[in-house]
Amino acid sequence: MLLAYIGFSLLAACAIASALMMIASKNSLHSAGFFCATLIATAGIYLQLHSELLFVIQLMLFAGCIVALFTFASAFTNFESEGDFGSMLRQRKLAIVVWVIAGIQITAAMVIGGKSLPGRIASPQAAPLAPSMGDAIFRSYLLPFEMTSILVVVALIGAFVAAKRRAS
Amino acid sequence: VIAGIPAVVYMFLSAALFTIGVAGVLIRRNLIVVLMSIELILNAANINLVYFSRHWDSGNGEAFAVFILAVAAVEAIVGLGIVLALRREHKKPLAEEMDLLKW
Repeated sequence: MLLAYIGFSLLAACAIASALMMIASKNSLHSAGFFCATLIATAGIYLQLHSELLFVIQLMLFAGCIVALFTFASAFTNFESEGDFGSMLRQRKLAIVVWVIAGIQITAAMVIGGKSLPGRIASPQAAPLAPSMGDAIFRSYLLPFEMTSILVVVALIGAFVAAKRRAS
Repeated sequence: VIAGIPAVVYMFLSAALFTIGVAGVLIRRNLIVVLMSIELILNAANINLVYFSRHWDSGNGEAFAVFILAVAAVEAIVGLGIVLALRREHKKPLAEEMDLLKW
């Protein structure tokens, strides 16, 4: 139990610190690296929750493909970001106000919702959730699944069209 | 409670990552970092979904987490396509450079 606490604390601290570094670093390539660290720490938390399938998907799809995409985009745009961080003073004030309000709302919802949450105890040796998840995707939520595949096709075509060289 | 760790801890981690993502969207001007922050927000939602999926011993939460992953990948593809298209017009990928639909 203590080991679980220590592991979770390490992973959570790594995730939050990397996320902070991601929005604070000036170079977008460094941001991509810290983003990858956050995603890997999150994958570790999934593994701790015994959802191995999502652990693998997170590592392959999120920490693999999407981070590679971001890295390539950062390298292609080759953007020197002097004056990038917090140079829009007027918007920054508004941003801080919105941010504080959102944080208070989320914390309040968490405290209130956490109180009314029944203390169910799931044993760590519980049955794997992947069969039940496949059941949910391919029986209960088959239509959203098909919509997702249509969305992927549309997004692929849209990305090609957007990135195509204009005939001028 | 899973392995002695209470639910509110997972919810706190998720909320912390979510607010960091919101801060990134609001204060950064580099579009690539803004897109990364949006992905961070989706990832924070996924932590809650996976936790409560285990909490209730039901696969529904994980199913929605998979849907969110798919939407996040699609969003990254489209967003980065737009960023590269903006780059083609010899503009910097900054949030205020996207003024095509403004008048």
